[in-house]
Amino acid sequence: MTAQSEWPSPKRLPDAVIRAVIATAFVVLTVATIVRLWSRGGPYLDAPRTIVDHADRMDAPWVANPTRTPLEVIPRLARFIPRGAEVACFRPLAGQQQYDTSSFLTAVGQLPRNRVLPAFTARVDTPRPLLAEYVIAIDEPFTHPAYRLIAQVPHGRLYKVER
Amino acid sequence: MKEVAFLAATLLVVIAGAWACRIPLVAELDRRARFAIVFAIGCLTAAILMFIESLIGMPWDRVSLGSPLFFLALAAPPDAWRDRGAGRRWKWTDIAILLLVAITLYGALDARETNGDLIHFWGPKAQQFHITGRIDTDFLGFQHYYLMHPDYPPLVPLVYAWGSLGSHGFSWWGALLVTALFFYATVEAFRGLAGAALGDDAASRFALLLAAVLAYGFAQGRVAGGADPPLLLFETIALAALTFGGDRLDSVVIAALALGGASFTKFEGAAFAIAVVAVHAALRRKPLATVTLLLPSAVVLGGWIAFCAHHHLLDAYAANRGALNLAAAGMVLLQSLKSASYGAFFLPWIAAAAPLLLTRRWRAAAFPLAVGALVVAYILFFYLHGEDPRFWIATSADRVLLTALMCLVIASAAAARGDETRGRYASASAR
Repeated sequence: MTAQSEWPSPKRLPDAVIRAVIATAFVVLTVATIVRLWSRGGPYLDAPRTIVDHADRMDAPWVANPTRTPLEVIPRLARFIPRGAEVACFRPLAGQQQYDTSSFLTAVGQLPRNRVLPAFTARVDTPRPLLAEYVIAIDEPFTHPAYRLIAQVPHGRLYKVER
Repeated sequence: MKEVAFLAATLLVVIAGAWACRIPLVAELDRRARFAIVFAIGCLTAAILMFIESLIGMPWDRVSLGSPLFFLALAAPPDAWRDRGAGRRWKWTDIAILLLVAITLYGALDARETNGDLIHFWGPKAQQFHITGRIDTDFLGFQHYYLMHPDYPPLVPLVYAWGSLGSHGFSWWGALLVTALFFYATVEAFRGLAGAALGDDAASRFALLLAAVLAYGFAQGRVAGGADPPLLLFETIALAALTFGGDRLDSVVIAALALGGASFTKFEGAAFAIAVVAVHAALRRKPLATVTLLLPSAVVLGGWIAFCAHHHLLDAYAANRGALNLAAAGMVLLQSLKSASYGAFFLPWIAAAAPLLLTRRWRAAAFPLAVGALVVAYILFFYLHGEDPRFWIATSADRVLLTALMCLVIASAAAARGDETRGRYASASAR
C-alpha cells in the first residue's frame, strides 16, 4: 500500500478521542437497543407463548403479527389430524376461505407430517373430491356445507370434510 | 431442554470446521476468535457435506454424517483448541460485548427479535429436510410452496437440520437461541482478525463498536432465527480478513471460504462475494488472489444452481423476479432511506462512521468503504425489481443494510491505524 505520507495528512488524534467516541457509541446504542426491545411491550420476564409474542411494536397495532394466533392454535388442533392428511389453514372472511399467506405458511411449519394446501382448496365451488380433508379456521368460524366442526380451541376451529 | 440440545448439536459443527486451524491465520488467533472462525467454517463444511449426501442419495443420520465428521476431526491439528492467547487479559470491552450478547439473547428468547422468515420458510424447510433426511426436492418443488423460494441457498436450513439431528426434531426456540451464538461469533471473529493488525486494545474497542451497532440492528431489524446473523458472520470474516490481512495467502483463503459460506446462505451473500471480488480486483490488482477469492463461491453456488436446475426448482436464479423498474427509483430511494434511519435518526450509521470521520484516513479504509458502497448499490438494484417494492423494503431493508453497517465499522477500524500493513501482518508480509 501507499505510505501514509503520500495521502493528505489527517489531524493526529489522540487514542483517547477514539476511545471516548466508541464508549459513547456503546452507551447510546445499548440504551437504544434496550428501549427498542422494551417498546415491544410486556410482560418482560414471563415465558412467551409463541416465538412472535413481542415481535411487533406496541404503538403499531396495525402490524400485529398475523402468525401469532396460528402459532397458538395449530399445535393444539394438530392432535386431531391424522398423519398424512391434507389440511388448509386460513382466517375465514364472512365464513368463507380467503387468501391468507401467513396462516398457510405457518401451518406448513407447524404440521410437518401433513400436506398443507392453500385456502382455495376449500372454496364453495370446489368439487367435493378435491376439497382439503381438514380445515383449520383461525379466529372466525368457517361455513361450508361440506365441512363439519370436529374440534374447537380458543381462536381456532377444526373442520373435516364430509365426502 | 430440546433448545439446549439443538444449540449443543449446532455447536458440534466446530468439529467439521476444526481443520481450518491448519491455516496459519486461524492458528495464530486466540481461542475465542479461533473458535468463532472455526464455527463459521464448520457451518459451511457441514452444509456442504449434507448437500453432497443429498446429491448422492444418502439419507442423513448420525452414522452417515458422523463418519465423515470423524475424519474431519482427524484433519484438525492436535492443538486446535489450545489457548495461544493465554496472556490476553479480559478487558472492559469484553464485558461490554458480553452484556450486548446477553441483551441479544434476551431479545431473541423473549420473542422480541423473531424474524418472520423463520416461520414462513427457514423453519419449515429445516424441519422437512430433517424429517426426510435429505434436501427434500418434492417439498421444495410443490407448486403451492413457491413463496418459500425453492432455489434459495440452503445453508441455513441445512445447519438447522444438523442441529435437529441432535435434538430429535427441529426446535423453533433453538433457532432463536443460535442467533446470539452467530452474533457473538461475528464480533469475536472480527476482533481476532483485526487484532493482528491493530493491536488487541484497538481491535477490542472496534469489536465493541461492531457489537453495539449489530445489537441495535438485530433488535430493530428483527433478525432472530433468520439467515442474516450467519450471513453477517461470513461477510465479516471475509471483509476483516482482506482488510487487515492484506494479501497474505491465508487471509485470501479464509476470505474465500467465508465468501463461499455467504453465497451458500443468501442471495445477498453471492452479491456480496461479487462486490468483494470486484473491489479486490480493482484495488489490490492480484489476479491469482482474486480468482482464489471467487472459487469457493463459484463451486458451492454453481453446484446448488445445477442441483436446482436438475430438479426443476429454479426460480430467482432463473431471473424470474420481474423486470428492472427504474420508474420506482425515487420511491425505492426514499423508502430505503426511511428504513436506513433504523427508527433512530441514523444513529447506527453515525456511530459506525464517527471514528472514520475523525481520522479521515480514507485510503486505509478504501477497501471496506468500496465494498460497502457496492452493497448499498446492489441492495437498491434488487429493490428496483418489482412493481411496488414498498412492503419488501419495509420488511427487509433494515436487515440487509446491516452488511453495509458492518463494512462501515471495518472501514473505521482500518482507518484507526491508517496503514494496512502494520502489526503482525507487516512482519509476515516482509517475510
